Amino acid sequence: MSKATDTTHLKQLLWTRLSAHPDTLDLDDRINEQPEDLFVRMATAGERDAVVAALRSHLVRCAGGTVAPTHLPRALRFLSRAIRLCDSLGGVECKDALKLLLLQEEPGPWGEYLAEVQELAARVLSGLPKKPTDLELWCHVARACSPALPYALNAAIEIDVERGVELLARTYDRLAPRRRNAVNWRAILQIAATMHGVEALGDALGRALADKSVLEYERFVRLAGLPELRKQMTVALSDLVGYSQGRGGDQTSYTLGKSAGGEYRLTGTSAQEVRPRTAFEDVTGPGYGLALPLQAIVEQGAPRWLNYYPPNAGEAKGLAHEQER
Amino acid sequence: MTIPAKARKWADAMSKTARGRRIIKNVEREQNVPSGLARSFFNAISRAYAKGGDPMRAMGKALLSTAAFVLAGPSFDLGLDLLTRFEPLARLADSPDLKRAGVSLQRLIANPGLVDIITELRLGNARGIVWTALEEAVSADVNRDASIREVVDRLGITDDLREDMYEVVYGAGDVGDPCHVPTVLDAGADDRFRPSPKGAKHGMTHPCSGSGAGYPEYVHRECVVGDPNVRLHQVGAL
Repeated sequence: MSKATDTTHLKQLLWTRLSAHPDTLDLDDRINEQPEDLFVRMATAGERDAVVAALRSHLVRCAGGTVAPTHLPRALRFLSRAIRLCDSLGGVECKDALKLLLLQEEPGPWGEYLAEVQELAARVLSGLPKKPTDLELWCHVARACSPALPYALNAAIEIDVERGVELLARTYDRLAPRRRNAVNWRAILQIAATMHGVEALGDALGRALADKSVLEYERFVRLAGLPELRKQMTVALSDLVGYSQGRGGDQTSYTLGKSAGGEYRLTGTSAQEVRPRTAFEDVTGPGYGLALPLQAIVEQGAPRWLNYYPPNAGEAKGLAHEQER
Repeated sequence: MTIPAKARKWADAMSKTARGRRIIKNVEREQNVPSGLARSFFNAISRAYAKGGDPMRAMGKALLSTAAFVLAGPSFDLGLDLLTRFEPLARLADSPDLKRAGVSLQRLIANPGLVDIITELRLGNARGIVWTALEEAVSADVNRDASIREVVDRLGITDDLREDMYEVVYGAGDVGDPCHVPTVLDAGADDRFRPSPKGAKHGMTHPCSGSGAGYPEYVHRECVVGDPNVRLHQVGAL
């Protein structure tokens, strides 16, 4: 069979498959030729544009609800293949159709399978070239907290690291601990670091958490599993500097600043007692906290303890006699 | 297996296409299916085909009708041997670990190191069968710089590879079940399969190009491979 005849034959098959009612499609991939093979053979026969146009048309019909399958799993398998083919072919022409699927809010013809369809659409869409204007779409998808969430976060960070990281931090806070497990936050933050560099990620994280406590930042540093990010903490901490010194009993306390989350204090009974600590080492003193990274504090000769005290926790920790100097 | 009279109509219908003829030839050459099971298979196929329709589909329905048709060949405990599988890279994006990390296929292609995120891989087709080759034989080819196209051809996957593949290497001991010599009941309508002679210790893949030797192969039950060793093989964009 000549290449031209073969292509014509494939075209006929493809259009028959795509325009047929889903229930009539024979999609048993264990036995019969996979429609996917048709697409691939056509695409490799120089018919990529025709294939992508056909895929796009099918996706639009699916998103528009004009496909009303009675045999839903079968129609779903076909739609899944069409979406996957967009991925393999780099079908940027299908972006609008994929967006339609992704933004569908009513279950429509896909019923309980809508989340599955949207996850796949998000996966493919997040791999296609992006524009800054796509950011709003991904923010919208992330807010919906569907299974498409990890793709939305990755795509948003790729487009704009600052807004993407802010979206990630907000989403993380908003989700109940059990639902957080649906996302591999560490992997997403590490991909972000690979894409934009650790420094840019740290800056973005610092800005996203500017109104939060240092411990919030530390939590994300741990979440990311990127110790290099700790260097960025000096940026976040510098906002808190302007400490005062107090004395209560035999304790010296340096209040570094206040935030809505409580106070950060440097405490110790004597210079000898305060063990030398490397910057950012965790502190196992009363409450919990962080060793100080601030050069300014080191120059003051202050004990190298930084403890975090939740609001009104002073009395409970026996620091009621502490006086501000 | 000898095709009985009751399944003759089905066999005749299959023989109308080249692909069907190859499958019928496989059925006739198969010697590793116990005779009782072969009878059950032909009963099921004649029942399915009597309802009318496509003979290929009838074969599929018959094979799906009972779990006994799966892994019917002789079994072997391969001990510490390593097994290997090649699949299109696109399927790797279905890994739950990559989904949780929001990794698209395109991102995976651009950054192959992301496979390290995968903590476990589920293996098995729709019938719960895993087709696998002996890693030692495949790696011997890879080590002599055979191209991924050659390897995939020799594995009997395709002789016209146009998409990136991934390979997963795992221990036979990780399967938790013995490996079997594949039979035509495992292969079904896959005409790339060739049955092994009676008493064979393993199956052999059949190169799609028809030239050269294949690799020793087995089938085993679906399983989950923890902390898998995944390698990506890129052949360029479609």
